[in-house]
Parts: sequence; structure tokens; C-alpha cells
Amino acid sequence: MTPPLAHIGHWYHALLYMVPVVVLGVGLWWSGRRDARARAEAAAPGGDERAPQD
Amino acid sequence: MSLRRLPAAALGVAALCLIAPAGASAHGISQRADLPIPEWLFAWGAALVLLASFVALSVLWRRPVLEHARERVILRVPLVLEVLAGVIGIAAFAAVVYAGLAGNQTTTANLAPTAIFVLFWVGVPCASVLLGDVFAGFSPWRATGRFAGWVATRVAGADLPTPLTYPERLGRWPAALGVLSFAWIELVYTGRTDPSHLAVLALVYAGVMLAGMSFYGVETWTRNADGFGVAFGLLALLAPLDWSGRELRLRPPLAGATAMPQVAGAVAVVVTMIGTTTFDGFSQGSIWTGTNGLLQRLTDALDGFGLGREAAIQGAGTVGLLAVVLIVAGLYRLGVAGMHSVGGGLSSDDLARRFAHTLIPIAFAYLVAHYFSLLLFQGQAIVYLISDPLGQGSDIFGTSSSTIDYSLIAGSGIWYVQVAALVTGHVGALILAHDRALTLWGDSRIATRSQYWMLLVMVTFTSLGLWLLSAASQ
Repeated sequence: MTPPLAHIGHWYHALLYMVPVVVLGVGLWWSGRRDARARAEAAAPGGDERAPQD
Repeated sequence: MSLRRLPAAALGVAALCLIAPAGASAHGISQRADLPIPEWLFAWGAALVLLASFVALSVLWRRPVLEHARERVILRVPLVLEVLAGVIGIAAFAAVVYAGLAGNQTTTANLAPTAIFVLFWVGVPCASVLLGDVFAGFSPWRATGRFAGWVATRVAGADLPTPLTYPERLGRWPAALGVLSFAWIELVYTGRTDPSHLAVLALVYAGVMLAGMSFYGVETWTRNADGFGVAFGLLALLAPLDWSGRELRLRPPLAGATAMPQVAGAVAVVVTMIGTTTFDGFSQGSIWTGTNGLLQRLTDALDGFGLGREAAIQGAGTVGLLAVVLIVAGLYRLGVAGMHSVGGGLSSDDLARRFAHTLIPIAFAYLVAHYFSLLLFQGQAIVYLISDPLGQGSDIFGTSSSTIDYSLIAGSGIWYVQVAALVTGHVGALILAHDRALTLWGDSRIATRSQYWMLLVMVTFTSLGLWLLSAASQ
């Protein structure tokens, strides 16, 4: 446990710079998935009950 | 972990690091001591500014403004001023080349390296963004080409052959190659500190430019194949001043960028500008330069082919430079692919060309962020170098004893300028992208949706830029 943590200071800050990118990327991906599902539901013949469900 | 908990977890990590930043960075990580918060937190703040700007644009900017901005003529430029600028450009070029060839070969004592890498490569872009395309007037090869054309017309008259038709598919690819070649010399070539090498390379470049002009015409060649002319001209599109023909026009800042020609290689020029600056930052960090870092490993691998150590080091640098340019190109294509998913009947290539102008403020932001301190400090060397350009003890203007004042700005001040440059540049890019999206898609809701992935690209470029600057300073 100790050795990797002892060296975390060498690289953890690089990951911190990526946090906004990851958060935004995940948010966009999730939002896009939700939109696609909504479009599929709207396009499916017969209404919402035939739309793909998770 | 559920997606809903992700932001909370990220905030938690940040809070922990803020509580015990010294402990977390006990090994090897240093930062400017007088900053009130960790450097990486600036990246988070910058991302929030971009996000807020994006939301504000989608709510408040409902129709294209920059695309239809009007220019107003404020001054007529007399012909004599054009001639004078050309003469000054040629004289400055001749002085730098002469200093490089005949002067002291110590890098810091000779005018050529500082004039080329600091004044020319950093100073001219800054002047271009403030004052418009000033380089077009001072370009020594363009001035020489125009003068040669004028003389040839006088001598040969109607017998002068018409220039060849420039290949349309070649577009601005030669200019992209020119920018890449200069960056290679600046960042990879081991002889870059040798003034005489630089002088010879400058002469070779001028020779290539004049040869191209003689075949395809001065303006056509300059517009497409002069790497410096094209790069500085692109940055000048951000300026509020436009030197069109013999008129000086006033326009809203950024508006000129919407007129960026959508020709082959246009995207490549801007991507190369950003990529080469990115590599400059990356190549100063420990991932590249550290013990057993990428440079070491690549050099060892290439050395195994029997190239010799120096060639292997240059080979490693070349691989790194090209890889970073390709990564930047890939990031841009990611944003374009996101736009393409919205629909609208435009191909990815078409969208890439139509939104290429949004990269111009990013290219300038990266340039300022990476080279601001170089221009501020090393730029002062010009004061004593113009008095002693050959480094042989002369004192032409009585300024040879001046020195560089390193107390002009503190380390934290430089960092703030770098952060401000990156944030401002990327907000400018968002504005340009939003304005173009409104023009293409009409509906502001679809236009905003089309820019989601471009926002991600902008945040990525901002975070990347700040990380590179932070890593380079350690």
C-alpha cells in the first residue's frame, strides 16, 4: 500500500487536470444517450411501450 | 459508481487535495509558491468559465453577428508606405542573415537567433493580432518578388509569360509544411543555436519563396505557400484592423476570422500551429525529458538502427512533434464528429473546413501562454543586440551595455497571464464556433447542441495547455 501512495505526488496532479474533461465528456455522453433513447421512443410505432428500455 | 455520483466524487477528490495539498504533493511536485491555490485548480476554474460562456452564448447570442459584421474604411494607405515597409523588411532580413553568417557564433551574442525565434516568431504574431496583417507589408520575399515583377513588367512588357495555375488541391498544404519545418528547426534540430545555420536556412527559405512566386505569381504563392505569411495572416484575422489593398479598415475583433478561406490544407495550418506549440510545452516536461522518459526511450530505440546519437535524438524529436500534431488534429476531428452527429447534410470534411477558423484564437492563446515570458525577457535582448548585431563589441546605437530586466514580472504574474490567455482564447473560439453554428443550422437550439462536443474540445485544449505549462515549469 505504501510504495504506490508514496509516489502519488509524482503523477496525481496530471489526473486532476483531466477531471473537467472527464466530467464534461461523461455528461455529454450521458445526455446524448438520453436524447437518442427519447428519439427512439418517439419514432417507435405504437408509442412509448415499444421503445427500448434499460 | 453511478454517473450521478461522479461529479460528487470528483469534488470530493478536489476537496481532499485542498485540505492536504502539501501532503499530496510531497514528492517531486513543486509549484509557484505565491499562488493562492494549486495550479491544477486553475484548470477547473477555466473549465467553469468556458461552461458559463457556452451557456451565456446559447441564451444571449441567438443570431449570427460576426459573419455579417461590417468594416469601415478609416485610412487610405499611400503607395510610398508600402514601398517603405518592403524596403525595411528586406533590410532587416539582410541584417539578420549577415549577422548570422559573419558574426560571433555564440547564440546569445548574435542578433540572428533572438531576431528569428523571439521577435519574428513571437513578436510578429502578437503585432498581427493587435494591428492586423503587418507582415504582408514587411515580408522580405514578397517585397522582393513584387519588385522583381515590377521590373520584369517594365522590361518585358506584354511578352512576360503569365504565371502557372496554382493546383487547387495543393491549397495551403505547402504553408502547413513550412510552419512544421520551422517548428522542427526550433524544437528538434540540433543546430538551431548556431547563427550561421539559421542564416543559411533563412536564405534557403527566401529562395524557395522567390522560386515559387516566379512560377505561380507573387500573391497566389504568398497566399498559399508562404508558411509565415499564411500563419501570421490567419492570426491577423482576429485583429480589429484590416489592411485590404491600400485601405485600412476597422472591424469588430474576431469578425475577420469568419472570412478564413476554406481551402485544402487550411485546417492543417492551424492544427500545425497549435500542435507545434503544444509539443514545445510537452518537450519541456518530465514525461519527455525525464530519466527513462519518452525522449530517452525513443532515442535509444532509433539509436539501435545505427543512426548515430545526434540523428537518433532528432529522430525522436521528429516522432514526438508529428505525434503531438496528429493528436491535436484528432481532438479537432472529435469535435467535428460531434457536430456531424447533429445532422444538417454537411460532411465531416466540410464541417472541419467551416469551423477551422475557431482554432485561430486557440493557436494565438497557446502562443502567448507558451512564449509570453520569452518575448518579455529575451525580447529585451534586442536593445543591446541592435547595437552589436555581430557580437563583436560594436555600439552602433549606444545601447550595447543594456541588460535584461528579469524583475519586470514575477513567476505568479506570468502564470496569471498564461491562464488569462488560454481562457480568453478559448472563449473566443467558442464565440466563433457558436456564431458559425447559428449560420449553418439557423435554429439556435440545434446550433447549441451541435457545439456540445466542440465545448469538450475547448475544455480539453485549455486543460492540456495549463497542464503543459505547469509541467514545463517544474
